[in-house]
Amino acid sequence: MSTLNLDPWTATLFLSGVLALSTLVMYLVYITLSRKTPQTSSEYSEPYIGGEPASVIKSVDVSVRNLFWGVVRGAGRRLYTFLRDQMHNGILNDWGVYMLSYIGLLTLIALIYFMR
Amino acid sequence: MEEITLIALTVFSTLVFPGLLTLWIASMLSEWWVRKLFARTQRRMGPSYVGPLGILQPFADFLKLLLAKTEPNYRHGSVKLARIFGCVGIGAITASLLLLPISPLRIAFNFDVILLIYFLGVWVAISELLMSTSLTNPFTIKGVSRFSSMLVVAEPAFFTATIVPVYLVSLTTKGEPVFSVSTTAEFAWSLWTNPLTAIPMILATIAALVSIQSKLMFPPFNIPEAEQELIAGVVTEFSGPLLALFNFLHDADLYVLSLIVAVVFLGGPYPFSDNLVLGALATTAKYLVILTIITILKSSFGRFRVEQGVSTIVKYGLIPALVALALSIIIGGLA
Amino acid sequence: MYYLSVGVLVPSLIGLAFVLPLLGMIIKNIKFFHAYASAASLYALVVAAYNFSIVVKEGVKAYPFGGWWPPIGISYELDEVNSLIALLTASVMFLITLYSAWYIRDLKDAPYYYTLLLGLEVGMLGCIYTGDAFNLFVMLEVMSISAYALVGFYRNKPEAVEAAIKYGLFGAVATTLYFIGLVFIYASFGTLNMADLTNKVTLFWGYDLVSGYYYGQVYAATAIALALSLWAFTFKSAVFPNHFWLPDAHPEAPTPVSAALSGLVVNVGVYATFRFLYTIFNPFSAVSGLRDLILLVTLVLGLASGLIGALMMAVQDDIKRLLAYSTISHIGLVLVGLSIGSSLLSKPGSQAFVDGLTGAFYHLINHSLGKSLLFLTAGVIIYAAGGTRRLDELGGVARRNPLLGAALIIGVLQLLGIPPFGGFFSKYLLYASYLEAGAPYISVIINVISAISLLGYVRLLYAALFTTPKREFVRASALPTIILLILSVACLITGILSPIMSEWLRRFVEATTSRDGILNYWLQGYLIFWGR
Repeated sequence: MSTLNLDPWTATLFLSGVLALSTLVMYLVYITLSRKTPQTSSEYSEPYIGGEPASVIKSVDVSVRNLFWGVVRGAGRRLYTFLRDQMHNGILNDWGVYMLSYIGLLTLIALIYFMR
Repeated sequence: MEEITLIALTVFSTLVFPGLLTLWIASMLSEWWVRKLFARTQRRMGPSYVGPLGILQPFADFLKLLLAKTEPNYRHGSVKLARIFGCVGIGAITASLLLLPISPLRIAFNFDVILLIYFLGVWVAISELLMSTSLTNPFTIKGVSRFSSMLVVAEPAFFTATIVPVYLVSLTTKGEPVFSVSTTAEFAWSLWTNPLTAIPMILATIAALVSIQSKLMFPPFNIPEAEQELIAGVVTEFSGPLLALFNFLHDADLYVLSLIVAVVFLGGPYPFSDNLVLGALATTAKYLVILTIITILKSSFGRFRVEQGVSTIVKYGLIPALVALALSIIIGGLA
Repeated sequence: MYYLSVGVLVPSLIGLAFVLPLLGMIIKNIKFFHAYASAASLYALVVAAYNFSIVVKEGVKAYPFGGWWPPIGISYELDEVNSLIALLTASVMFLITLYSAWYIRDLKDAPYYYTLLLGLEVGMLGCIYTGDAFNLFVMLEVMSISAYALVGFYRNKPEAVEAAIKYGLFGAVATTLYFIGLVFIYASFGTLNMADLTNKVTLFWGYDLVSGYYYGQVYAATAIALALSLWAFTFKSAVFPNHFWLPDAHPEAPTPVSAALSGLVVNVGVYATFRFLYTIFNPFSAVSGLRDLILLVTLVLGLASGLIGALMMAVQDDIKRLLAYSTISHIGLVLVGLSIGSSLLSKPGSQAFVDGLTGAFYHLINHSLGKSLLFLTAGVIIYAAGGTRRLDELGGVARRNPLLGAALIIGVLQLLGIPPFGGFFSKYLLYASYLEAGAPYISVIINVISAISLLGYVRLLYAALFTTPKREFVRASALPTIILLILSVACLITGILSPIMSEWLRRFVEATTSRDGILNYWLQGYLIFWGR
């Protein structure tokens, strides 16, 4: 048992070294033990679509618009509706409301401080 | 001379104990425990052929996948990237083990809990995400999308829950270094004996378990894998050695996350802190209790939908953790 | 004694910039302009590095222009913090100028482009170097006008012109408000020299032979001036709710300019906030109560913009827009670090105070490197994907050029703050400072921001690395790849050299924000006349 008392920076770098070492060892073990992709074969395996041929889908890509539904249209629906459609709507007047209320807040703080 | 000892100790800790070799064995054993128990709750036998009570089954599965099958030649995506990210994830888990007090070479510094979160939470999550994404398939991407949606709340919940004992220990004891995993592990038991600090600790432990459940994609948070619905979600394209690698990464994550709850929240070897053997037994017992709770949770829920999953993590993970943190701050104000 | 190099950089660089259109009438070979601009920004880099070495060796240095007595004349004043930010600006700008030689290789308008790009650099360096609040206004205008013009550089594209107009309109409001703030300051303090203002606000001596005592309602004027200038500075650094212009403006600019705007221009606002709230209206000053309130506002706004930037990243379809929102998020984090100085959170000189400020500047550096790396990578990706910015159409081009892919991943890891990249160490300091200050809730929110931003980065990595090819892959030439390599290595180095860097930054922050440091800022800036 020995505790290494290092400063945070050196300790983090040390542990990153440990990360690198164990990654390397793991990779070597994996490479030596595993049977890798046959190099000679030019046959590709198609993406697995539940046993159907890959042609049943238009594209293997998912549009980025369809990512994170759970957050964007699920749990965070109201938040995103507000953020996207009401706040970041690109209308200069609406921006102005936020920006001007901010300077209003600052002025208010200044006034309160002065009145005090 | 000292440098040589240090290097030898580092290599030993990285590769043997608590590093790769022990990590592998312990992860496989944890997988066996979960599988066996899970099967028993469903009145199945579970693994029973290889070794006594089938205890060697996960080892056999791992070796079979690694040695006997081949990596397919994927048309889309990159096998090499998947391999690299899988190995990096395991490397990150190994590195985070050195922060725990079980390691012969222990790294401790002020606020090292942040490093733990970044190694164990962020590096591992990113590795899993990118490993799956590397093999392009619509179902994989859907799984990745769901997994990252859950991580958005699961990571902060785990962070907040971990901060609670760390913060309480820094308030109630004079342990050095402050906000450190090993200091917390040393004094965590004292938080349970004090009724004032036990309340936030209970909340934080619940939060930690909920977030671990979701980080491991266990039911009810098996949304990213979602058998039948998404084929197999994040693991759809894995087969052969890559599947072995991913399973190892997942089991290692299960092992270390549960170990952290056992050590950092429940105080590890306490009440036998001075006896190495009894202490190790106590830690193992606590660890198995945590693993059992995780398995019971796993077996007693059906799958949520993704937005239900997210709001459940918020409700039973993030909010209890935040309340626990608020209570800790109040306790800090009283002290 | 004072060094010519402190004063000469900005005027000479502006001269070099404004000669360009004239040269453009005579010389028709575009290669000449690439070489000229690169040489000019290399010159700026060398001088900035030299100035930095002087300051590190000899402490605060001022330069009075034309030999005028400081409260009357304009003076430039360099301390450790601003000379470091200037060095960062000059080095990243040098790489960006080099990259521009590839990006606009066939563009007929190259002289004008480079005039504006150098103008942008002059503006930034001027803002950072200046020791005069009015000169800061002038330099903000120099910087902003170059930026407006560069955003609308593709004047055939309606979106670019619209973005430039929006940016310009609100930018003009911001600089004008800052100007009005200066009017208040000048009316009540009789001076605009930062060193002299520091003296008067901190009551070191309170009197000056030229600018005299105080005039009128000093407290009221200070309060209003601070409110107005903070609004302008947060506009320049795109902090919520003044961030609206950024996601429109940054993507529409030519890519190297986006890198400069997102990586460097936003720093100027942060730096100015720091200069105002830690040097002039410092924790020891007579207005520390107001300062505490304002720092609470910046804390809340920093957290809000961190959250909003991260949330909006998750729903972007445009690679540059995604990166622009990431800028908002990161500048929010930097501002959170700066806000530690409120006396409600920490005492000046305490561990949390120094950690927070060190973390803020460290994060500023990490973000500048990481964000310019990602924007420049995005430029190559867009080129390789045939000119589209839409994430869906990128077709995984980064995977087919391993260096490009590596640069992308390194940039993302740097911004996500993953050890051993620099981003981790700055985030570590931010977390640690708020835990130390007894405000773990702020640390939790920082963690939430990081977790949410993961969504955006996954989106970026997925689209740029793992989607299937949509069209023929166009290979970019060696020059941009080398620049990406340099910046990637820089990202790693900020991590690997973290023991040294954090030590230096800590020393700089302590030297700049301690009472002695502030006194020294005044003395060096103000008494230069006698010290020559």
